[in-house]
Amino acid sequence: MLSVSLYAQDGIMNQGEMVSKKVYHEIPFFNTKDEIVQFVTLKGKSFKFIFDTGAPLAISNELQNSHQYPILHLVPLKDAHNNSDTIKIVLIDTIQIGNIVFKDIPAVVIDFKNSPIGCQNIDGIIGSNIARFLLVQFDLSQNKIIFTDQHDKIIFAKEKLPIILDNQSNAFFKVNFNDTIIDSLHFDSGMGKLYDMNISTAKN
Amino acid sequence: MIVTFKDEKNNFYKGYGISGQGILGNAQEEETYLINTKFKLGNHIIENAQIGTTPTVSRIGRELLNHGILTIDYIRKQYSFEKIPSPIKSP
Repeated sequence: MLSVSLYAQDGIMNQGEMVSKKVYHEIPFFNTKDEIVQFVTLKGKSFKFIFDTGAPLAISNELQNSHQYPILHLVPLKDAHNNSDTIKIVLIDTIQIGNIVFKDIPAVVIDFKNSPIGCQNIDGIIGSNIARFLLVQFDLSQNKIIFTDQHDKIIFAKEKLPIILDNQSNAFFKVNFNDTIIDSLHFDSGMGKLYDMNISTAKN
Repeated sequence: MIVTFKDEKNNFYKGYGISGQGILGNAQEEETYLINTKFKLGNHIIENAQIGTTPTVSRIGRELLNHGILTIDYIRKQYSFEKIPSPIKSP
């Protein structure tokens, strides 16, 4: 639902760094029907964000008005349903999630209050340009999502398969149908449904 | 509201309408499908999957996490999926 993508300007969101090292953080996770909520710290205050791997880091208009982050660009943006608008990209000097500190990360500014998710009162989105520094494990059976950069803290399944990161750090991988039809898709933790297939692929 | 018809042979529904909302507003009215099928993710088969359609890129969402543990290693550019014996039903 919240999936958004920026037109052109390759790598525009993939700036900054994770300054913390050997990090480990767990987010409680009980229900796939609800958005994944995580509070973050900006300039010493706590704000309600959701974790959406189908979107870049985003902050609300209100947060931008109060914090006045420097504007990097004005760019066209489209959402998962091809609605488009022009939005600001600002530079977040420091954002902290649990014990993990990130510096100089670009964020889009979105009018959440007048969006379809206005009733959720969120201040922003932790997006894929934050996730790109991490190993992320979604484990509903243990009711947690793990953020870490330490491979020995995660129990992997035996089979590891490649992903391709696009210019927004969306993680694309392949699924197949009857071993003949292959679809390339990305995991979107902001979408409550199971699977939306590109309509041209579906028709094929 | 989507008006649909069922194609019994291929096990899908076809319709026309607004299929969802994005952060910037409602989707446009468009042709849409609901397909009942199974698909393979790595070595694991997800049975009884209901797949919708989108005019943008294909996406898999949180409901997948009812079926297993998903690990995305952005650092080494790989992922793994471990299916659990029976899907978790979210309330």
